[in-house]
Amino acid sequence: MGAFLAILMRDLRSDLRNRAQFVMIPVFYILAVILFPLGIGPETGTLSLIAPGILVVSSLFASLLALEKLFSSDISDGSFESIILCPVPISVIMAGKITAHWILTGLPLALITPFLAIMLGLSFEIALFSSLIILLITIILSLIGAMIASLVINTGKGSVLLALLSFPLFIPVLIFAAGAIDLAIIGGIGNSIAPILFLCSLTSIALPVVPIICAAIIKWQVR
Amino acid sequence: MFGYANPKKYQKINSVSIMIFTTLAAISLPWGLYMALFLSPPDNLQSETVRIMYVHVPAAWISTMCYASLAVSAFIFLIWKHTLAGLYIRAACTVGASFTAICLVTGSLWGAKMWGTWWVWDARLTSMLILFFLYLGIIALKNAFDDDDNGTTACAWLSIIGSVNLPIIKYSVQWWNTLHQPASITSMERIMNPAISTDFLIPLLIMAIAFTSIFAILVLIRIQNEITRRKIMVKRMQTQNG
Repeated sequence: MGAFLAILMRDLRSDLRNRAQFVMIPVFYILAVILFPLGIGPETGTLSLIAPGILVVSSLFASLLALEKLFSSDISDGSFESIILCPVPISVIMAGKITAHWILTGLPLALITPFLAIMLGLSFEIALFSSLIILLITIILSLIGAMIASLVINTGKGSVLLALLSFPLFIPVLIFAAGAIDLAIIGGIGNSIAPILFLCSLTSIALPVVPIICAAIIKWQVR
Repeated sequence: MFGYANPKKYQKINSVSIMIFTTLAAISLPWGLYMALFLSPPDNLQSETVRIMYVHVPAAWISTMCYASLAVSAFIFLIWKHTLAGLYIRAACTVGASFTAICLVTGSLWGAKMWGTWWVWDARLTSMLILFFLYLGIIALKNAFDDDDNGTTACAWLSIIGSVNLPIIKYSVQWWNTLHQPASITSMERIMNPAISTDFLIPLLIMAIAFTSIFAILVLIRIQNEITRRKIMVKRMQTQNG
């Protein structure tokens, strides 16, 4: 637990020092969402109909953009090797890094979501609800993405490969998240319990397993 | 199992098995095609279009089984570093992608005729499309590494991570009530006592044998090529270094 917190605080501190990097992600998210009304047309009826999809797809793009930075800065300045050599399980280090990454990139997305949802013509409750859904899926996306990011760190062509490998794995999350918000719009928040349970079960499987898989991949990558 | 990690020993059984599968395909493919295209009757509801099934269904079986076998050999490769499992992953991913493409294209043609649309966002179709992109991802990852062994290890990890999609494909027609019909042939018991008429079942099974043999031939030849390629690489390095 001590090592986990130490890694978490270190990553948070080092990332907060160069703000420009993590401010980019929410700005990208806002811009991506704004593109849709401009492209489709400002009719509130149409917009609120496709708002769940817009929000979820844009947050997917934003978290993909963020994934590149998960390991790259540590690897480029060489601090990664010394962190790996710490006398704690690598899975704990990975859990710390993924948590820090989620706090800096996933959490802000969830916090801006209600405002964007209201701009897209959703009601106040649904806006808050979709923020919760985005909160949940950014956790899953960070976890899945961390596995993929750790696979491609040594290839030198990270970004395109990252997109090609992560999107197929992101699709189930996308379907259930957009479905949950859709169902909530149709029949109230209680209506969308099934997709929410599915997302929760995905999270609870991924939470313990992903740090271990990441640790095994990283161990192989930095032999 | 570990004796065949030696390429010399393996190459002997490789050429023998290529011959066996070639014979099997040479018999079953013309026979199966003849039965499927001429002997089997047109379907009551679907008339002649039912014949697409004899290509579509075996291709779909192969593409999912190929992914399952990729995941299994990925485990074997990561745990025991078995060379042959690595070669299999490198060889089978491209072949599996081709069979998935065949399945998607024939399914689309069949759908255009029977459902009146080339594509629906139905659970089975979508999950097969995801499978296709997983294959493409594995191929891309394989080619992204300069070192062959590193590429194979990365592919092995990806195939294990991606194998969560397999149960989704398998049960998609049961979990979600969709346009795609549920599986007719689910177990050995159902083959003995089938949900589809034996007029359709027998050509289908023969075509399945033919497709499996073709898949095996392609994979075995690709493994053979890979071994030869590596031998040439080693020879070239030896001559360069004097």
